[in-house]
Amino acid sequence: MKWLRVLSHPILDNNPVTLQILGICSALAVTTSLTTAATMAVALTLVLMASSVIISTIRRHIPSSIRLIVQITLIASLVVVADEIIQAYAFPISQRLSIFVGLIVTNCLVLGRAEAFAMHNPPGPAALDALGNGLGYSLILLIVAFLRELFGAGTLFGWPVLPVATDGSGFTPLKFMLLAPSAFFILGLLIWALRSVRQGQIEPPDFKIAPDTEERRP
Amino acid sequence: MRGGVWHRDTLAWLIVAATLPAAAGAIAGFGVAALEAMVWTLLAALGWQLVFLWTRAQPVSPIAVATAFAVGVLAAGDFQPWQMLLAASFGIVLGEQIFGGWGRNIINPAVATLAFLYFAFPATPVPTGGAPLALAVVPGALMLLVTGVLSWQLLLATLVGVMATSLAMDQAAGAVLSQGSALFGLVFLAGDPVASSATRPGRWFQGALAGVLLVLFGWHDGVFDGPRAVVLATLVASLFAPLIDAAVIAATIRSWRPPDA
Repeated sequence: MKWLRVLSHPILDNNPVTLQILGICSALAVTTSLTTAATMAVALTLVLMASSVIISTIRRHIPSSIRLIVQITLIASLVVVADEIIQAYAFPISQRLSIFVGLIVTNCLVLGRAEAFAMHNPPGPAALDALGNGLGYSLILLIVAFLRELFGAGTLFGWPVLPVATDGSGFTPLKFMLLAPSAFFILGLLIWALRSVRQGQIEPPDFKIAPDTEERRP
Repeated sequence: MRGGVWHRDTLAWLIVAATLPAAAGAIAGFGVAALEAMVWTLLAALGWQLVFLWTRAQPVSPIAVATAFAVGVLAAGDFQPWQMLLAASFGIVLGEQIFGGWGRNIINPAVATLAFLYFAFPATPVPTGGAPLALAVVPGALMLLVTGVLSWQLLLATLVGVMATSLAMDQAAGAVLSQGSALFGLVFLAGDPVASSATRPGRWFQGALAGVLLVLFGWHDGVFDGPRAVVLATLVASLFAPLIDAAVIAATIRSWRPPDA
């Protein structure tokens, strides 16, 4: 039961994208279509799980002073493997993802989980935590990509869904949805919706307006 | 708490009254398209104000009329009703209501609406008002200047920015200022008392920034595209306003400290 919570906690209650605001860069860049978003989600989840398990396994042998270097080296090696596999078996998608698979290395999510969880827990929970975080990231990515591809191009996974206007009638694709700002807006609205349902996620205000005081005169 | 006449709604009504001649000029110049844009924006604004009144107890404000006028003047194109409603909802909610209603927003809701329209539907042409619209802007601008709603420092800095940049780019400053759409945007959007800088030195900086950006954004192949340029210039300038204010306040506090401390 406790292990199940490790898996489910990061999906909604502690979502890496909407609560920890990690991995935003790739969430903006790859979500113009569901195909790229799904590829990215799978790649990131696999890299995250593999890195968490490996780091968790050797966590007692990593000298604390160089732990970040060791973690990054491990993650980078895994990312290279993932990138090569995608290039070998899905070259068109790899070209559309351009550098963003490679940039999984710098995704704060991967290093964050390695540093915060895998370094202090045995491989089993670390794998579950990584899977949960990967699924949470994938969920947000797929929601954003679904909305952006549907309204930006009228397609889903490249298949035409909405009747796109060619001669004046039908649906006019919102080109705006394919630009990066729309991903910000969708993410913002998503966070807003999530926090109005789960109010525990709302952060305390940074500043409080002081109550009105009488004007003091010397 | 509401002592005196100068509370929030007075200012809102003043701005609405000042925008009125320009709105009438736009309807006379652009025809029914301007009126349609105003009506749809007003409907969206009122709807969202009521929603936020109900869910968050945010007081409604007559500023919705001024927002609708501004959208009508600068987006009198051939937009469909759902496009107007979508853009206006975006602008009103994300530009104004989400921050706590008018007076707490950091960008003008009309600017957000217009920017959304221009980016989402770039194929729809937007007409630019000429000298008659510019003349219709003047009485409103004078009224706001006299009542102090529009800061004269800000307006002067904007004009200086426009003229200096025009001179540097070897373009006619008169072509910018006699274009009604650009002048309307400079007075009512860039000079919006809520979304612009609140410190006096900050107003000089922000006004100059808006004026410079307007000229830089506007000229394309010898044609000055007023509406898009003024909306984008205002958007950038108002996003810089809090930073400018913070810098001015920090510099002021530093100047108060004794020099040896």
